[in-house]
Formats: sequence, structure tokens, C-alpha cells
Amino acid sequence: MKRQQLVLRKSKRFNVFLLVTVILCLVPQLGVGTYILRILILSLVFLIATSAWCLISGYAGQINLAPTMFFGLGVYSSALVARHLGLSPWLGLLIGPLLAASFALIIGFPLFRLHGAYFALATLAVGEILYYVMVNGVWFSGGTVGLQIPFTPKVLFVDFNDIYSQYYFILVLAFLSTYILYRIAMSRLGYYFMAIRDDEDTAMSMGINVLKYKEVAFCLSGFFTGLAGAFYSNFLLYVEPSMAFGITPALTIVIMGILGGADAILGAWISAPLLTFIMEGLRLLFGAAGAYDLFTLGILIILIILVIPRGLIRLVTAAKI
Amino acid sequence: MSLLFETLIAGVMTGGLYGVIAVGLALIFGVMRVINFAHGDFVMVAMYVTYFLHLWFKIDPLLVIFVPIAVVAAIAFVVEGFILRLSRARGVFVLGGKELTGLMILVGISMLLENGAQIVWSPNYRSLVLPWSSNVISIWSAKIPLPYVIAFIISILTTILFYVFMTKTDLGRAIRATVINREAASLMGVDTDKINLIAWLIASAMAGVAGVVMATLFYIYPTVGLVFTLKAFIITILGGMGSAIGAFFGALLLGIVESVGAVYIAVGYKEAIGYIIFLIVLLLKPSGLFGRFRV
Amino acid sequence: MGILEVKSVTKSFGGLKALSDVTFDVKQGELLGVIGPNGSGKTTLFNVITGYYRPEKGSIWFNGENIVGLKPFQIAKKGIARTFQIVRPLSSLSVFDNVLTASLLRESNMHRARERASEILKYVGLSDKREARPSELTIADRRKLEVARALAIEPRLLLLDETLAGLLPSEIDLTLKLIKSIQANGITIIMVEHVMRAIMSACEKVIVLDHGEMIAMGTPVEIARDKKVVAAYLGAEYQLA
Repeated sequence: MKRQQLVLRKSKRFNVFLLVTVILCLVPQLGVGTYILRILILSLVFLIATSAWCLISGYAGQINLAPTMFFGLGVYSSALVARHLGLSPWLGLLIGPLLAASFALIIGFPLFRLHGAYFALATLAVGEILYYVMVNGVWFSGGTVGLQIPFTPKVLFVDFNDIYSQYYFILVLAFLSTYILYRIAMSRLGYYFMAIRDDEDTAMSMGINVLKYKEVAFCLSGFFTGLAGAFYSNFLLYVEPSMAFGITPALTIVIMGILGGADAILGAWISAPLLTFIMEGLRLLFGAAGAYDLFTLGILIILIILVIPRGLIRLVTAAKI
Repeated sequence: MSLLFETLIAGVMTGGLYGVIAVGLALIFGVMRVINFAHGDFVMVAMYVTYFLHLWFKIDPLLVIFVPIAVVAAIAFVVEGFILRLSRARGVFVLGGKELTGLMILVGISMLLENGAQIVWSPNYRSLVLPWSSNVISIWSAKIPLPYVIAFIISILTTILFYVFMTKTDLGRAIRATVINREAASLMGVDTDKINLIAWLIASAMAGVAGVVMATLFYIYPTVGLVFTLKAFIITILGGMGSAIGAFFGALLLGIVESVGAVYIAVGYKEAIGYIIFLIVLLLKPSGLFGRFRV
Repeated sequence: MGILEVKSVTKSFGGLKALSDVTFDVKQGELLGVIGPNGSGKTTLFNVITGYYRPEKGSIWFNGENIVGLKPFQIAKKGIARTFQIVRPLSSLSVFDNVLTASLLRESNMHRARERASEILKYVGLSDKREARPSELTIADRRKLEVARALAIEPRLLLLDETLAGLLPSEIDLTLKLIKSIQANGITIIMVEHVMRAIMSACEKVIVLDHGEMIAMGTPVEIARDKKVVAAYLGAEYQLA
């Protein structure tokens, strides 16, 4: 009986979600200042990447320890489009996701021969390779020095001159992305993903083409993570390998995913802002130079797994979300 | 020609060390089905302890090799004896089961160790310079730095010791039984909790030995751990997860490939080479690793 | 020309011949029993038919098509469903969601798939347990769930692997009734069993495996009298009077 009480009716769930989004829309009106807005924007970027991570790792059970393989492709797309093609870096928002999704499709074939922890570590290897490629391909990527992105304030009808426009833009992106991911998770695809997670052989006996659906989940995850990355670099106007492909953003996304609830697409709405603000707070406390923020992140992840391994969202509802 | 030979020898010798690290990782995986993401960080800690012992007391690291080992083993004891055990006892796991839960906890431990080291000891690269660091031995036509030779000798000795322990002692046999079939071993009277702990202590001790020796060869810095962990993982996959001999030869192979790659291709890609080989092996070696179906 | 024809199927693992030149066929609507001592290859046979293993020799014809080499999900789509000897439900999903996931194969509309799943649960008698997790079910109910999941993909051929093992006599009767009812709906069934009275009472035809070889085929009565069968189970010294 208890389980039933915790299950919010579907329409209610969506209403809560809508409410949160509306609140976030109003935030700038509260006069919070650009500093807070900046942090919110960053948390929304990671929110998208985290929700996408949940789809492949939480729903389909294929733990990707290097979502940066997609994030980084998105990040660099904008920069490289501007640098080498002379086009608006905002095109990266189109190219990044597509590039990341294509990469997912291709790299999925060798990767999905592995299962469980083997797969997870293989994803790490892929992430590391991409990192080294970017660090070494200096002519191409600017190496560790990085690349600046030229500032292009006007894209179509939207004026990105100020932080408020950027905030609303990412908010819309976040809403749309997580909405789409949520609908996918609730659909037939979502059930198939979960079947694959629970028992591949049983899934096959139900007529599920396991490899195909793993690829679908992976490509979807790649697409949205790439989208997040593309916006990220346009916002920061600068790219370099460790912010794109490094272990820090990789683990940040993974931890946000687990913290929100690995199998909860919408859980990221709680965990991404929460963790981003905590990390920022730590940076203020200890100074950006030290490794205190990551150290604390390490403690956090151990605590999370010991105390609430199913994620924060499970404190609120046991439903599929 | 001489350069190639020296490169090969250097590769073999570093490979031996990688092997020692990899065998420890494989042991933990075999006994507990958990991938010790912090394994390389154990090595890193041993490296730092060795460095400071030398800095403060001016003793040759090889004489006090047991000190870093003890430190690392103590950390391993805390990790398995308290944290991991607590997680298992709780019975609730991150989606993906026990193995992934253990893995993520160890990711946390790794972050603690790496960043703790960075906070306490700063991210600066350090190196250990010993009186015999620059001595060179001539093997045939090649000139090999003494530290490499000593490293190799120690890794051979450690591996032999490990092998003897696992095959000739009762405890070793108990461990192997647990690796083969945990339940059956338990039914036969093996105390699997104790075996877990012992596996961790042995694996960390080996990581400690590797760390002491590594300190005489490479730069010491906080994030060097991750590099070792990934290499060790690549080696265990190359050599086959259950086989210590396989791991050893896989390690030699990796050492050689890296060495040759660094000299003949490009230094910057040295690390990436390992990962690329790894992915190629995955493509070509279908079953065996992941031998999937059982009903 | 039966719905399923197994011709000279041979499957080895290393040096061990799990199946050796097995040949038989099943007619549409038949209930075929497969018996044999432990280790005789019964489950391997199922695994080969459903594509989890590939035989070195032989062919398997389903509805006139050779299905050797097809992957398990393709075979499921073609209309062969199976249960597993050790039940393997989707553990994180509810009973209802387990069946729903299976019914999504034939019905992509979520609403209709849900209706279908409800019907199937009612049919096997698990409606009151729809929200439960598989781990909370009794063994008998878990078996029912396996059957429900298999039925949800609308098979023409159903393979039941020791569905009656470990059940109470009353549960066995109920399950047999269910199986007969499934057969009455036009689905061909092959069941691997150790529970002899089920085989004897329900099956029209029985094949006997021993060490991978098919040593007998016939009606239940014929099989019971077959000396080779008795020898396989009890050893050569024993004979039925």
C-alpha cells in the first residue's frame, strides 16, 4: 500500500515539473543578480547532460562513466565551426548534437560488446582518448591553451547580448530536452530500455533487439549531451580540453545523475542545481585553486551511495520519473 | 638498432611494474567482482610516502619498502573493512547492482585520495633522486638505467612471490577457490569476508611495492593514480581477467607498445596508445571476456 | 509438415556433445513432452531452437523456414516464445510492467498494449498481483508470470521449461489446466518436464533425450514401456514388469 501512496498521478507529476519551470522563469525578475544567474545557467547545462545520462545509464543500465565524450564534442563543435569555417558558433548547437549522436552510434558497436563494469571502464578509456586527441591536436583544437570563441550576439531573432536572454534560452532548451527525454522514457522505448537493464536474455525472448535499442538510447543520450556542451561553450566563449573532455565534468554529470536518481529523468532538476550551487559554494570557501571542491565531491559520492543510493527523487516518489 | 633494443628493454621493464599493479586489480576483481577504481591511487600514495621518507630521513627507499606498503594496506583495510562492507550490509544499491555500487564508491575514494594529495602536497611534480638514479647498466649493446633494472627485478620477485603464495599456501588456495566460485567456497568452510579483506591487503601491498619502485622512476604527482588504474585495467582485459600469467604478459606487451610508441610516434600520444590498443582488442576479441549467455 | 521440424541437430560444447543428431517434428496444435534424465540436453534443445545457441549441424524449420542462425529476438518475433527453467523476470518492474513490456512487441500503441497485458494477467490468474514485484511472488506465481510474458508476444509455438518443478499437487493441476487452455487456443506447446503424471496425462506425443541423443519417440504409453527409456532413468538393471 505504501508504494501506491508515494506514486503521484502522472498529471500531478507533470504539474509539479511545470511549476518548477515556471518558478525558474520568474527567477530573473526577482533581481537575483548576474552572478546567481550564471550559476543557474551552468546548472541548467549540466541538467540536460544529466537527464541524458540517466536515459542510457539509469534506464538502459549501460553505465557511461565518460558522458564527456558527447559533451566535449558539443563544446568543441561551436568553437571549431567558428574557427575553421568562419560561421556563427551557434551553429554548434545544431552540429554538436548531431556529431555526438553519430559518434555514439559508431562507438556503440565496439562498446556494447562489453557488459557491466567492463563497459563502464571502456567508456572511460574512450573519454581519455578523446581528451588526448584534443590536447595533442593543437593545430586543430588549440591544445591545452584552448580556443576563444568570437562573440556573436545575434542569432536569428534572438539577441544574446545579455545574460537574461541566455538564461531564458537555456531554460527553454532544458525544459524541451528533459520533456522529450521524459516522454521517451515513459514510452515503449523506456520499457525496452529497462528490460535490457534488468535481463538482456529475457529482453531478447520478448522480441527486443538488444543491440539496436542500446544504440538508440546511446544516440539519444549523445544528442542531448552534445546539445548541452554546445551551449556551454557559447556561454563561456572559451574552450579547452579539460572542461570539455576532462574527468571533472564527466564525474560531475555521473554524480548528479546518481544523486538525482539514476533512473529518474527529471531527478536532474533537483540534483543539478543543488550540486552546482554546492560546488560553487565550495569554490568560494576554499578558493578555486585548491582541489577542495573535488575532494568534497568524493566524500559526497561515498555518502550518497551509502545513504541514498537510489537518489533524492526517491525520497519524494517511487514512481517512474 | 640499439635505440630499438633499449626501447624494448625499457618497455619490458616498465611493463613488469604495470603487471604487479594489474595483478592486484585482477585479484580484487576476482574475489569481489568489484573494480578498484582507486587502485592506481594506492600506488600514488606509496609513491608519496616513499618520497617523503627519503626527503626527511634520507634512507634508501628499498630499505624501508615495508613502510609505504603498510600505509597503503591500512587505507585498503579502511576501505574494505568499513566502507565497502557497510555498503554491502545496507543492501541497497545504485542501479546496476553491487559491482557498480562498489565501483562508484571507489570512484569517490579515488577522488578523495587524488584531491587530498593535491591539497596536502600541492599539484607540483616531484621526483626522487637517489645516489644510484643515474647509474647505467650495460646489457649487450644497450645502456639501461639502473632504476629500471631494479624495478624489473623487484616486479619479477613480487610476481613470483604472489604466484607461490596463491598456489602453494592454504590461504592462497582458499582465495583461488573464492574466485572460481564464491558460493561453493563458502559452503566448503571458507570465510569469504576474511578472504575479501585479505585480497584487498595483498592487492594493496602489491600496489605499494609498485609505488615504491615507481617513485624511483617516474614523476610523482597527485593525479598519476588514474593513469595507473586505467593501464592496469587495460592489461587485465588484454591478458584475460582470471589469469595472473596473462596479466603479466599483457603488462609486458603494454609496456613495450607504449615505449615504442613514445619513441617512434609521438610522446604526447603515449597514454592514448594504450587506450586505443584496448579498444582494438575489444573489437577483435569477441567472446571470452564477456561470454554472455547462460540459462 | 509440422509447425516445427528439428532435423539432425547437433550441438557441442568443447568436447561434450550436448545434442546429438536430434530429429523430431511437432504438428500444429500438438502438446509435445520432452523428458530425460538431468543433463540429457533438454534445456539445450530449447536454447538451440530459440537461437541462444547455434547448432553445428542440422536445421530447424518453423513454418517452413529455417531458423538456425537467427537471433533470439528475431525468433521471438517469428512466433516462438519460451519460459526459462530458472525464472528470469524483469526484477525492477512490476508484474504488470513485465507483461506490458512483452506485449509491446505486437502492439505499439501503449493504451492497447496495456489492455492486452491486463487481459493476459487475468487469463493466467495474476490480476490481483499486478503491482507486485516479481521478488514478492510465490514460486507458482512467478511461473505464471513467465507464462504470461511468453503469451504476451502472441506466439504460435510455446516452449515451457520445467514449469511444474517444485509445485504443490494442487498448483500442478491448476497449471496443467492453464496449459491445456493455451493449447485449446491453438498454440502449439512443447514442454520439458520431470513431473511424469503431467506428461502422461497431457501430452499426445513424447520424446526422450539421454546424453544428448533422442532415444525414443511416441505416445506416453509407448514411452513408459520402452526398455531404453527405463534403462536411461533407472539404470540397465531395472525393468518395468
